[in-house]
Amino acid sequence: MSKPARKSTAKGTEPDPNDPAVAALGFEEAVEELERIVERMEGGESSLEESLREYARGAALVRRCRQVLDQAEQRIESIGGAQLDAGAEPRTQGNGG
Amino acid sequence: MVLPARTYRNGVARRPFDPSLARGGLFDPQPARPGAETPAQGSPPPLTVTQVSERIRGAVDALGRVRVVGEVSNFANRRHWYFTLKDAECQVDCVMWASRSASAGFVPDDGTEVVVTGTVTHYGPRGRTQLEVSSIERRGEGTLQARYDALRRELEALGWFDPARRRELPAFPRRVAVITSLGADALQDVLRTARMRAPFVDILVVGVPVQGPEAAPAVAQAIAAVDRRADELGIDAAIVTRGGGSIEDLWAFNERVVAEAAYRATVPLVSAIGHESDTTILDFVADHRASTPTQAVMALFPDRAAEAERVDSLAGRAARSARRRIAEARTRLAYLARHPLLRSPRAALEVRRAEVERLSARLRSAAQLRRGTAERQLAALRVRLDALRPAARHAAAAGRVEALASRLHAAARRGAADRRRHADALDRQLRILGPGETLARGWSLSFDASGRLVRRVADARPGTALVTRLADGEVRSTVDPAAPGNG
Repeated sequence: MSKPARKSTAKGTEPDPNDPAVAALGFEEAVEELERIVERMEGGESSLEESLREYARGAALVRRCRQVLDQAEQRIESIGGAQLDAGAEPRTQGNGG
Repeated sequence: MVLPARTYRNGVARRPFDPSLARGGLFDPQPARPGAETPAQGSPPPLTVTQVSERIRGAVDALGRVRVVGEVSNFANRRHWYFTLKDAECQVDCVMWASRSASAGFVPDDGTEVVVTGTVTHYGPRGRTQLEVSSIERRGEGTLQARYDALRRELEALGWFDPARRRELPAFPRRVAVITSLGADALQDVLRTARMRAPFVDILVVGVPVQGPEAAPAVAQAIAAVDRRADELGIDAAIVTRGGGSIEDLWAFNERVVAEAAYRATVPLVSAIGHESDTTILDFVADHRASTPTQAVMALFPDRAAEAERVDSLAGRAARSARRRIAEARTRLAYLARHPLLRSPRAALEVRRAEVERLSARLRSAAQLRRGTAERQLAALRVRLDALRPAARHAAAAGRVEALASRLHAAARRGAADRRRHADALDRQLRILGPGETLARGWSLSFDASGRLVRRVADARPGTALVTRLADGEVRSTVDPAAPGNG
């Protein structure tokens, strides 16, 4: 539980108030879901209500993707090979841009 | 991989003796030092120690680069390596500076048979001649190039270089492990390029020595550790990188232990060792070979600009779809809104009410229709029943009697005999058809007190006095009030 929280803090991501699940998505997952949604919407199969729901979800995914891409601070950790092998935890260092 | 031609072609690089290289040499017209003693008459002047030393140095230098086989003894590792190389007869002092020994690939012990390549030097102040070793290999292992070729052939035969077993690099890695030396330029190249290209991809730097005898096992260990902990640490790919150098410098990446770690790893691996012209064994086994550390980042890290364009495009498509869907819905709504039902809710109610009225009318008429039909059928049956009743038959018969009587009167006006005969026949018929005959067959006629024929049960109410005419007389009776069917 503590790990994703720490990660999102380190990445400077704010939880999306509309859908907390979106904030936890990786870029690739978010883009893939977005692609599926757009294709469904363009297919015109769904009802108006479904379309609007899909659009809202899509907009949250777009926000999430842009949030990832706009991230300026690279998260860099380092560890010695032997320490890594011994199971030690990496230490954070900056690669600020 | 191409080795510098100078290195191993000849055991000794032979050069013709060049007196000019020997400073203060035998043929030097000038004395080595100003103010040196004047040569004695008849014999050459004595040389100073320095002059001898310099001449030795000149001669030693003329040896150039040599390749020497021998056995290591008195090995001392004091940052630099000091040892003696000997054979059955002689020995030569050797030194291998740390800058060179780091890429040796192994640490010799006393007794190790080695082949060294180096330059013989003479150090005047200590009067010492020694071999400065630039590379060392175990005897029998052959040259690095030969070992490289042999391992490459072996692993290729094992299928380790098969392009089909190369894993695809992830399109969007969450985190990339960079296995390299912490102080190396290669790492700085990787970090700089990664920051420009995709600062949203996390990096885990795994520090390892990248040259020297510890490098190969350390790199192999790091690859294995990254692979083993990839899930735990969210690592989607790894880069193994090192800047350029000689074959000795890059040797760790030609070792079997590194190749094996890369072969066993399941996390996609990018190798970027040395320069474009260098191809290490690791490069063949890795999933992707990059020529430089920067190229490795370009291959593995997504491009922020391209990804932003992809997201923008999807966002635009989603927005257009949503707008079109809403426009369609609006058009449909406008069409439906024109329908009278939607103009006012009362109209809808009226339509419903009219419908209910119409249905209930249909229901009523259907019921009436059924009743009417039943009544008509009943009337028809009643007519048929009436026709079958004795009184009716009697009445019909009476009609016919009238007709016959008038015919009788007509006939009476005809001939007497003829008339008589005819009358008799008519009389017979009359008797047959008259009430007398009907009564004679068992039928009866009942009359009430007022002499009216009783035709229905209703005519014979309880207590009514009846006169019933039979064939042979009359019976008087009263309708029993207690009898069923009379009430």
